[in-house]
Amino acid sequence: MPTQKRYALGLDVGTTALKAVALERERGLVAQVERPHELRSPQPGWAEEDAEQWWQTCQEALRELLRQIPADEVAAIGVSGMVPAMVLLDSSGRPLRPAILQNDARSALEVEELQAAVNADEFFQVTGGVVNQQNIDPRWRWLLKHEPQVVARTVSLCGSYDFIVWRLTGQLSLEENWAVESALYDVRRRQWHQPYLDQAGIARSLLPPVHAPTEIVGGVSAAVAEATGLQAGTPVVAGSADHVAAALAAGLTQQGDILLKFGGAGDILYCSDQPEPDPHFYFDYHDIPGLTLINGCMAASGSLVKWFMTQLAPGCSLAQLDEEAAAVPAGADGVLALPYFLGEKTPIFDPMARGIFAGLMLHHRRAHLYRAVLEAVCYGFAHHLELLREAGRPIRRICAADGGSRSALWMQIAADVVGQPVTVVAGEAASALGVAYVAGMGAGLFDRWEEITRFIAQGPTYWPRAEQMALYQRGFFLYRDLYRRLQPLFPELAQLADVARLIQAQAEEDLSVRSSLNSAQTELNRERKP
Amino acid sequence: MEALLGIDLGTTGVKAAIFAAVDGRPLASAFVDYPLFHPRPGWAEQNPADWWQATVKAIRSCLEQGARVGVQPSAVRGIGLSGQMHGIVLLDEAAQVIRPCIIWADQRSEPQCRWMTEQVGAARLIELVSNPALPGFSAPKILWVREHEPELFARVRTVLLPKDYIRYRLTGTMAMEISDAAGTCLLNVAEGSWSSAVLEAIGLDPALLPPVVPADAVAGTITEEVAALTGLPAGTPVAGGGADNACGAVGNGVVRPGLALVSIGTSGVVLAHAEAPHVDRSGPTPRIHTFNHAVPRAWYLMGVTQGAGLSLRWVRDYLGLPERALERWTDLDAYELLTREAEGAPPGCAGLLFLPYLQGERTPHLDAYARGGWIGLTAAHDRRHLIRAVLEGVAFSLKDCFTIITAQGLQLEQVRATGGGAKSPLWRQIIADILGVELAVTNASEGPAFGAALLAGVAAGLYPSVEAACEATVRVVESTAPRPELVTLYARFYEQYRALYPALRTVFHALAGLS
Repeated sequence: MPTQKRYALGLDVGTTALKAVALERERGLVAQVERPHELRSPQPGWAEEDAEQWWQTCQEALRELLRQIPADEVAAIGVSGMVPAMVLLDSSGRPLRPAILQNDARSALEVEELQAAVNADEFFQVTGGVVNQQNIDPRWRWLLKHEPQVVARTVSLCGSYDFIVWRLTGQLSLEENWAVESALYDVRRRQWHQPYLDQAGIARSLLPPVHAPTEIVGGVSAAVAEATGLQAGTPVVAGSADHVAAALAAGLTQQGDILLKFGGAGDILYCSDQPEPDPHFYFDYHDIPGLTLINGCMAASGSLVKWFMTQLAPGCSLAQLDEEAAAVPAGADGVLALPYFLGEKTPIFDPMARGIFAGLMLHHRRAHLYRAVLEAVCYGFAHHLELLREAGRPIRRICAADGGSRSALWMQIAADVVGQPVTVVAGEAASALGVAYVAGMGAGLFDRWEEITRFIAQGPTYWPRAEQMALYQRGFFLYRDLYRRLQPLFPELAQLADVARLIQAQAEEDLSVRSSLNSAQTELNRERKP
Repeated sequence: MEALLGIDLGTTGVKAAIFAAVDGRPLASAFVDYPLFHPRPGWAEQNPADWWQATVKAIRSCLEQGARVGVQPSAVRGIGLSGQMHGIVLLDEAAQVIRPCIIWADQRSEPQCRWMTEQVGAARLIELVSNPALPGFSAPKILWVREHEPELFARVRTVLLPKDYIRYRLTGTMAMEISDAAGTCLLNVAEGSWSSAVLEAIGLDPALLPPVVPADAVAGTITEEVAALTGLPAGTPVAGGGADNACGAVGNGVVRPGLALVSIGTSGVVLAHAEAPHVDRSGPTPRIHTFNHAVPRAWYLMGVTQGAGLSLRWVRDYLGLPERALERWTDLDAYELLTREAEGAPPGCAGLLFLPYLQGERTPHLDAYARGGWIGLTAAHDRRHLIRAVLEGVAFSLKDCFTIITAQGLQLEQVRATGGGAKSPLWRQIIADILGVELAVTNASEGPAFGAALLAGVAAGLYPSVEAACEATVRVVESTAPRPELVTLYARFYEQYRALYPALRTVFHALAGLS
């Protein structure tokens, strides 16, 4: 009698950790494992990780999971991860150098080169996005300049989870969203865009075959089975970009479903049944065939809260700050903040944008400023929603997840600011759960995408309140106005800061010259004395 | 030893201090506080009776202290008064106070300002009194009482300013000293006499106003009754004295052309000595005040930024929890801890600016709805940048005042710094770099009381003139030179700072509606 396959395994390769889960077809998540990852920044702006370490943590996690569930009941394995990480493999399939992560900023110069080389409209029409530092082209140009010997030996390129799939199965593949985010891919024709490949100098042969998330790439190899306790031949699907898997795990299965992620950054994902990209957003395919995910990323969200705590409320807990801020009326009594502390990605694409606290009065205290920060992030989300509405995209349901969604105050502000109910979904190991479901769909363990909702832990729903909504509508108008008015000043401010740094450096140099002169003088005097 | 007594009637309390006439050395000092009332938001009132009791107490306590160091009351050759400007003390026929004094900080008389400006004509008003009608000034406050409390107003026989009321209690003589009278909006500042044209246009009886007297002449002598009350010898001469800012200038030797005073108290003041009553005519409304100085036939031009020390106090009170905690464990106060942290941030704060309009702004915007803010924040900024930006922002707002003053054709060779904020070497350096002038600190202590004492010395004949009094007693003890490379850098930051308010004005006004 054949064993009943009941489990789908999901592995998520994240910047800070590997998370692995076992999803049982009826009971949902039955096991979870986490192993830390080490981010390296050998130079400012660089972000690298060791792909071999990912593979180590994956194997450890698999062994750990299989202590809790029987290997012969595993129907399929799915891997998700950050995208587009860049792993360069040699002819024997070994990484030639540390993986370059999606947030690596080393190729700023090459980004400018690419910007100059392409027509922005055409680039958007083809790739569905704007030129940015995540694109593969500038990174490849950087490698050609700085590490030609690595490039010469590179036989294959792939992403974070593609690399794990390769190690599990011995089959090289690329999940389609790596291709999308590489900006070398024609998102309408769904094929490589040869002119951009040529422009970057990337041979087509370097790129493994592109797969949809649920496609089974291969089975677990005998060697891996030996090493991990998995059954040889267990199907492995192509997997998923982490944010797409997280969207699935939040229940975004229909056009108009939205997820707001209150993590370190502020992500917004919009589920669409239209294939068209949007100029204000990034574009990905959904794990669900036929759907796309229009998504945005605000550079600072939770990281702003953390900054605030460190700089303006040291020693104070989040709960205490929340309690204080809850006593401040909506609109923070006239304090208005802009959250652009890290510049901004979507929807304004302005790296020179800066943070602001405006409207300060003598009676405003820490709590007002803190509330203004929470409100600013929500205004940022509202800005994205406004653009979606203007583009005629319907909004059906709004979910919220990640760290910030645990704050009842923040979620109530979010509901009041966006003017719609906001439902919190528990985002624990969300990407791993999502990609486990993708694997389960690929292996036939599940029938329908919508059924993933059975496994989603729903939190409270926050309802917008009419009075606060009206007030926040005016606040949102001012939020937009504030940026427009100050935007012309930001580049000059940044430039002045650079000039000031130079002067400072010069002054310090003078000082050291002077002090060495002084000591030379003292030395001379001492010699003269006797 | 010949001594002089200076009395400064401030907003929080009164200070009495005794100085040696020969070199201005402080010998004794006492401070007694009194309450400030806010019957409604934006209103500010004090009881003249509280002032008087506190003054008597302060004088006695100061004399007692003096006696302990060998200075007898009989050594006091003269008494000078300095005081908060603009407040109105309304007296009836029996010279009794009719209602609490509406003081300078009170903002209720905006409608009366508009009415008065219409009655006289905006341009003509400035021709006549050198200043626009502002809610802070005395005349609109008088008009408010006439409009809202007619039965009280009907009993008013005399209007006095705060320190002039105290002089009346000390001497029994009613007078209004010229530098203080300049802040009523009823004095022809250029001529130094009441403007009958303005009084007529707004229908005020000139008889309500006592004679205008000079700052450095005797305006009365101590009565027997007060002698018994305070221990001062009867007959001791009391000088006209001066407005607090005028006395602050005298105490720091800012009594000749080329000198200016920067005062960083709660608000920030930039004041320059002038030999003519220049009026800022760059816009429809002058953005600086033109007042008579306590030096005869001289004036001073003054810009006021509302939030100077106030801004740093706000940081300390609401964001300075760690510093206030540390204060208890070290012998440093929170301000010192804050400014030490600010030293860790570079000039220009890595592109971060602060607008110090926490309480609206007077110079140069005259906008009660102006608001404060940090502009240009990045994740790389930390607490040190936030604090330094406040110090720089206040200095930029002082530069606004400074710029308008120098635009009147005044050549300033030295600026002297005073007030609590001037104690910080970092803040002084920032101000010197931003203003681009040498910033000096004098030996003056005890604030405007010292200047008032010097005026008393002139009145009593110990010095031939105010200039000579300063010559004898005021010395520069420390000087901060601007650093050329930073002057250039800050000039560029200042351009950015100046662009902020015009860009944000409508947002500020809208935010006021949102709170």
